[in-house]
Amino acid sequence: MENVDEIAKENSKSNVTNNDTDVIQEENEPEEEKSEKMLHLPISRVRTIMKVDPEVHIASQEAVFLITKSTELFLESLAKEAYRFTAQGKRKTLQKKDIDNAIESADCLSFLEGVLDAPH
Amino acid sequence: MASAGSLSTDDDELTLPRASINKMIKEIIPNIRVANESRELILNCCTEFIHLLSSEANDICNNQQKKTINAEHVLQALDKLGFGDYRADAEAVLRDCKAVAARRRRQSTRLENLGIPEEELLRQQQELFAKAREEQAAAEQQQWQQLQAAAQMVSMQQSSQDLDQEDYS
Repeated sequence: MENVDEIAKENSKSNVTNNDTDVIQEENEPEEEKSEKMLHLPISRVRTIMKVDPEVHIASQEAVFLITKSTELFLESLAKEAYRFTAQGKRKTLQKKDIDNAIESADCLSFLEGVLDAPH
Repeated sequence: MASAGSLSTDDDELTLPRASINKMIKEIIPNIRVANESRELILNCCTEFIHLLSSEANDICNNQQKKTINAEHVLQALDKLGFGDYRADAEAVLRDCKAVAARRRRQSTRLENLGIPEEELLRQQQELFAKAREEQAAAEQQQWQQLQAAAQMVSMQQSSQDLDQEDYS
């Protein structure tokens, strides 16, 4: 009888339908933790932020991973670009105006116009 | 520090953890002071970026009549939004992550990772169930026989006692 119980438990836990080794298994929380070690930002938080928009569909684990990584790259670009203006002004402290200038310096950052002035 | 435990009820305040952002800024521009206000702004910009990217990926997903946003949608969204130079890095990290995950799965002994096809697992399960049923039936049969034997013994003892008693009446 014990054998049967164990197998039943194993089978109810497992997701044997997903044999696609190309996709990071979605239900597998330990996998998510492991992939987070490659990232600075938490995937779960990014997913929660995405869900704030009611129109956005469910995203695969891979998709959220990519969005997380992209956000990190974005932060890097923004910080570096803002710093350019800090250095230009011969200052040691990165200020709002540096970020402002950074936003204006690149077309792809135009979506941020007005974000800095939004009440919070 | 990081607002890990507290889930704010105000959706607008749902942001990335400050500690992570600060750590990243420190790594990118190590010897520069960053005003707190600036950190806050960078944080908000990142949140906006997430909305922008997921919204664009969502549109692409819809156009393809799919129900789930996948990796390809996100990559196309990056291109479309002018962040195509992130693509190479992002894809590389994703590949690394999948390689690590695949390696771990190979080393794993968990049932679902052994690579045994579902039909085979089902067959094995059926076998075990059948075997268990047989053993259970056999055990019940044995119990029943034992009960019967015991009952018989008791009734035999009873009747022999009755016989004894008759001698004294």
